Amino acid sequence: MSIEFFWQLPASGDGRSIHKEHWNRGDYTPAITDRPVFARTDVRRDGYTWYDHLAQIARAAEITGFDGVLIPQTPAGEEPWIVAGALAREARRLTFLPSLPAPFLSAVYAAKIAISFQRLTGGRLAWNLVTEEHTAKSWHGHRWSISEQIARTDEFLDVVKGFWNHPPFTYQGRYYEVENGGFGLALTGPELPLIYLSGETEEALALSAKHADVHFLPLDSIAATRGRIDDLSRRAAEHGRTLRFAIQADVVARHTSEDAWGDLRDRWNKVTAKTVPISSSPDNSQGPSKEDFNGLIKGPNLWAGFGLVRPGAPVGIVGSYEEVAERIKDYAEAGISTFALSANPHLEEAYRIGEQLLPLIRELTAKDVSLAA
Amino acid sequence: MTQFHWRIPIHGCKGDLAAPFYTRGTWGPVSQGKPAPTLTDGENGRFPYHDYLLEVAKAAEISGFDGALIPSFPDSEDPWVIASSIARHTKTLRFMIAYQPCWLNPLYAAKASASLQRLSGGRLLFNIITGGGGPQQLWWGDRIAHDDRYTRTTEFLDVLKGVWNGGPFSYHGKFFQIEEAGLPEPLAGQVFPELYFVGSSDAALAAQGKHADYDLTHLEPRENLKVKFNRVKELASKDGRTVKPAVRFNIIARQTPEQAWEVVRRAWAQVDWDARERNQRGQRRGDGVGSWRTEITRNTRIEDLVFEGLWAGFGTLGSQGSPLGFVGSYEQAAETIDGFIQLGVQGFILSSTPALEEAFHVGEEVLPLVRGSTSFKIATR
Repeated sequence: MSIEFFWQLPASGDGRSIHKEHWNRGDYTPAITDRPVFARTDVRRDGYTWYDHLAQIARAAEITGFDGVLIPQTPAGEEPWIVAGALAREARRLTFLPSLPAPFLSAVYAAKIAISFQRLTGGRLAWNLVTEEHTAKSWHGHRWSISEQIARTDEFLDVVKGFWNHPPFTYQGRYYEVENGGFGLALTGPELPLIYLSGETEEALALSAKHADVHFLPLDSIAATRGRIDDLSRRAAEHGRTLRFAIQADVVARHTSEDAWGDLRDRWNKVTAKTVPISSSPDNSQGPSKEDFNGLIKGPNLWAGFGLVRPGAPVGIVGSYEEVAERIKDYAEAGISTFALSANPHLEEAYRIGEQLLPLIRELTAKDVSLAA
Repeated sequence: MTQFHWRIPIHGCKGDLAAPFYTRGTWGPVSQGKPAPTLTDGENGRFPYHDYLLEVAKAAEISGFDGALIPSFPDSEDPWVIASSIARHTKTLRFMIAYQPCWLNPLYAAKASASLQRLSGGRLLFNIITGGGGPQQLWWGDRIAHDDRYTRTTEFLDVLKGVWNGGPFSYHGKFFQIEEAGLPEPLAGQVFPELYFVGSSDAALAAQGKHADYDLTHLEPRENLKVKFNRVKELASKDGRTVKPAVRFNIIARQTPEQAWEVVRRAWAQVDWDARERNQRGQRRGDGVGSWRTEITRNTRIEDLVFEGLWAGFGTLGSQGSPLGFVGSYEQAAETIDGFIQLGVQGFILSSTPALEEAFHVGEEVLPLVRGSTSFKIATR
């Protein structure tokens, strides 16, 4: 099985700091007032915008050898679907993996958008269908439980797959219905986007067993990862299906292990020294302190502090290029095929990871016959 | 200010109006060596149809249109995909996305639209369609009855506007229940897209009165237009609003009238009457509303279809929209458009085939004449 690498696009701002409240690229941080020019806040039509910067990052990922870009769904960030459409023509080879909330979309219309996107890009769309922990403060004002979101996503995928692959398609579900659906001759041909799902609940695992092509696992120890892969593979086999597995990780990789940990600790200290509240850690209203740093080390090269200071995956991989490459090889051997990596600032780090790390990983995994493409 | 939009052909295009089928895109037969855009991405010299659509958008922008209508059909490209792609390759062109409210949750539509406004610098408009019902609507997965669909459209736009500038916005409608929602910063507070509305029933016009900026009508004889415009005006004024009339039609304009009619004559000679008669069998065509709707047969002559200086044969040539459109010289075209402006029309959506080349005929030659006219200047003062 070959390994694929996605780079994450910062759809809700970026900066050198580890903490989102200090990000100065884009206009997503209310506290930052001296904004760079590309944070356009009026309707000038030829200024440099955040989309131009996203395009720059996507190009960087393409040039440095990533296979695709993951576009995260964030409350205040740009809509991944629009970002994918805007950047599709900027890159000729990248796969676009927008994170979409299926319950907010008509299944038929989502399929329609997808087939048009496939035609635009020569089949470079994949879907990361996400659910969101419902909170009293959800910007969208919908109070759907995770279970209901999963039930809706299940029907959504029933309809999308039937409509796309088995016309004329009729379906009567609890949330979706359609009669004699299917695309006409002119639109047939493109493949259904690969479906990426995630989640740890029984319902999420059942959904993935039935519908996912790739399932995102939390970044955890190799043993725990193997356990999850075995479990979900068994569940998928009951549907006569096989899944691939992915992990999402922040990466702090430098020439030496000391450089990497030193850099991370520096950035952590800078953040905790400031009084800006850590909005992503509801269980800790005081925000993390300097002393928390060591306690957040969760294993060899694993550090769990990222989730405290910005949206996205909680755990990341920290170390020298060699160490990080070894860890990723370990996960690849355990059965992970897809790595969605991120590091800020995303433009410069795309070059660092793409040029320094990816070749090392490819070299390591090529030696291992079982991982050869 | 009077707006002029060009229609982007997202369901294929003919390189020649007289061609029997679409020669650009995958909606007609595609064969090797034919200069038709195809699915592949520059390989073997072939390009996706989107690349052609982008050319049409740029042609509309360069030739002086304010914007472009991107319609939506079951068997077409999708306008959201095209709009987000076009946005980065044009500078001033506005784009009008056609969609039905049942395709999206209004909160998601708000977020995607705000993101598109940030991407484009506020160049988005909406063409709100409510859907005709029947098998077509069930294909889309929508079973709501006619009048209820307009209620849903109204509620959809209530919510879209309610959350647009931030929250908290709660709503308890028949179709949408929302607790304390609102677009977060920095998505909140973008320019709200202008709304073009389609529909003629009482339910449609009631929904328009509350939300529409423009009432969009397929071209009809002037007396019919006057009646419709007055109804819209009356209903909108109940809500204390102004809804501006807009019309859409096909146009063939050339240096001389003879040149324009020659285009029609060439295409008319290619009409496949046998196929038309086969398709029409069993369907009663023409509802006797006016002579412009009389049944067209192989015995009909082009000049039989001239009506109020317009021509009612566009449907027979395979063009979308009203069969009634314009054929004539640049000057005549400008006078005709000027006449509609005097009737109160403030938005035009024009279309023609082939979309790329004709955009220049209309944009470069006709629009400057219209914009120089007295009534245009009065209307936009």
